[in-house]
Amino acid sequence: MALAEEWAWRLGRIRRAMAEAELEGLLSYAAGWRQENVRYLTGAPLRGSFGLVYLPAVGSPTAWVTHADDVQAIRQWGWIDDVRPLDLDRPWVLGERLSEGGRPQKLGLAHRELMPRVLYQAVQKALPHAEVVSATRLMDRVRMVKSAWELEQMRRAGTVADAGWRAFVEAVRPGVREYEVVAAVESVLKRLGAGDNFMLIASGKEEVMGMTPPGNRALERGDMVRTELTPALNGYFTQICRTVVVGVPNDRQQRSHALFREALEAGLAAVRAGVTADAIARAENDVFRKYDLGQYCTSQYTRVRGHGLGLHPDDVPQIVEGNETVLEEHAVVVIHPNTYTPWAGYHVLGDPVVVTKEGCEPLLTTERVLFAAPV
Amino acid sequence: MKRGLVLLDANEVAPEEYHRRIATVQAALRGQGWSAALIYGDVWRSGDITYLSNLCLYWNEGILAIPAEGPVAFLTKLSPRVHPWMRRTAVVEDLRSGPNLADLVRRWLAPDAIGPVGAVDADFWPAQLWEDVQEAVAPRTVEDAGGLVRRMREAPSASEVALLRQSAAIAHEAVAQALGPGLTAPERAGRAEAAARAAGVEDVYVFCRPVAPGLEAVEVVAEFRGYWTTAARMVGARPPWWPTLSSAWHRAVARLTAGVRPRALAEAVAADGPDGMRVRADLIHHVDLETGGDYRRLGDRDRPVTAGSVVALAVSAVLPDGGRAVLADTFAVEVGGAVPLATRLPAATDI
Repeated sequence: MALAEEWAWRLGRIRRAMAEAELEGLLSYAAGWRQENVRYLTGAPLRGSFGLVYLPAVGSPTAWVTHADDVQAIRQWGWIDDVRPLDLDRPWVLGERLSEGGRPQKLGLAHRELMPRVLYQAVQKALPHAEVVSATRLMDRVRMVKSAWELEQMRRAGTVADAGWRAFVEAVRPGVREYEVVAAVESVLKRLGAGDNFMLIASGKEEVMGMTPPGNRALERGDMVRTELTPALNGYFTQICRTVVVGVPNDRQQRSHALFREALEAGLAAVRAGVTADAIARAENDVFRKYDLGQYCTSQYTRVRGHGLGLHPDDVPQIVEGNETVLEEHAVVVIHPNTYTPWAGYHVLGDPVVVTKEGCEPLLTTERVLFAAPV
Repeated sequence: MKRGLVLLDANEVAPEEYHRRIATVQAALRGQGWSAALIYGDVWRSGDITYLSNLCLYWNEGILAIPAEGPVAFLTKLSPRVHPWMRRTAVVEDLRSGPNLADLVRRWLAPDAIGPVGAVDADFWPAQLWEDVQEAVAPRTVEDAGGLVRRMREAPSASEVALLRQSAAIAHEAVAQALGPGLTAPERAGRAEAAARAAGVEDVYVFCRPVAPGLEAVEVVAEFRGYWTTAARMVGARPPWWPTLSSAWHRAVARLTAGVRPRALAEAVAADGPDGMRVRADLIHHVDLETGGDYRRLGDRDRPVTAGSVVALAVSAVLPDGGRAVLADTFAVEVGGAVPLATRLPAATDI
């Protein structure tokens, strides 16, 4: 019953957005690495490289998938009954459905910018006179505000992220290699039911300028080991950013932590429904500027001061100065002032929160401290 | 996602081998009269780019740009902040970042490059990017270079076969770790993930699922240094239809020899079993494993497998309720038969 209500809630949001954009149909495309919109519409995890869902302004949706397991997964979830196989040698099957019940004159195409030519040409051929517009931002906006059911998934993902961080700290010791730390964490995340995880890491001292996938560097006493862990539960990603020192942190590392904690807490204090992403980023960056470190908030050293979370690990809105997107109640964002400074090199500290009318609800219980791994 | 070990090791693949691969592409370009090749990739499908450069697209999109003569460049939406890491882990020096790949192509292409530009596997390029690149390189034209790099990869060198064997051994070990009795599906997945990542994979997909009462599937698809292999076994009690699946596996392995056509093998092995169970087989070249074979075209399924190829064989039992049991291994195909790349696991039909 809860899932039936959830489907009705989502359909309502999407169809309102379609009506505002005067769309007669919405086609959502999922590339293997960008499945968030199709997952939103099907509820089911996809294994294949391609997935699509067509939702007419009136009538029932249809899904296409390339992997047999995905047909079963979507049907089991129960939101879409009409699930059809797709292979790249028969792309016209898309057109057959788009033509059923009257061709839309205006079609929104979510993730149009990623759709392969072989599929896009089939859409064009089926709808030669239709106006086809990108609906990526439309779906970004729809997905930004979470339902009660979605928030529950994200709270559960938060507990998995907390456990992942504990596993990370336990794995860190001198001589262990970066990829071995990742292996230990992944094992715990999967055992706890995480379907996926996005993770970057960096180890070393003041010379570290950013994070990447792991290498085979062996950890040394005095290293700062930084990570962002982004596990997904039922498709919903949450994120924890923390730093652990191998051994006892030195004064510079402690000072760096105090800086990042002040910036994080300034950012969190600015979060509430109705504020812009710009205001939050500005609150974080003002802390760096106060210490004459404002240059380290630029794209030369960092990317964003946080971002949205949900069915995509790097969702909208980007928390950056200049982004006037207004945060709505029940959006979920991670606030992370991660960047390089000369004090102790790249430093990460960040927490995901649910945006509320009065402020925000934290999704993690992990302390905001500079962790120390015993040696 | 690609969050495992990324490494450039000259002892595994000599720099000269990467240079030979690039030179082969460049010779093909000159033969066609093309000024450059553009190879698009994203985090999901980047095997061609990794093969030519050892670059790991751990996120986002990029284009490997190869001029008919001269050094290659990687054009990426990833930030310049990761260039030092890319230089440590790949053989490409010329790295260019920006939010718009077509603009990067425009700025990269030499003004005196007058021939058409070849877009590798153009059907799979994002339509929007294809249009933007056409505009960016005008008055030159963009032509479909087809599976230019994929065809090169279908005949693995000795160093590649060695990496494929390591990859297969890791996949076997991961499955073996997950086969213990009394484990839940997430516990099996955790064990497999730990084994694969501790052995240094770049990426791994682990699928553990109940298939029928008392019967579970454990399936691992692993990427080691850019080389994908797979293994799958079943754990639990033998169902009534097990002899049908077992027999199909043996028929498929017996047919797996140089010259076999994937579609013909699949049709020969397909069978209906008891209680509505259906047997389906798939033969996927190792170069197509990263995408589960989803990017294959009809021609690929009808093209004979050549001696020296490495392929994944999967035989599934699809149940009326949608459950799917699967047996899978990765084989080196030779004239007269095929040999599994790894032997850590018990025979596929053991349970």
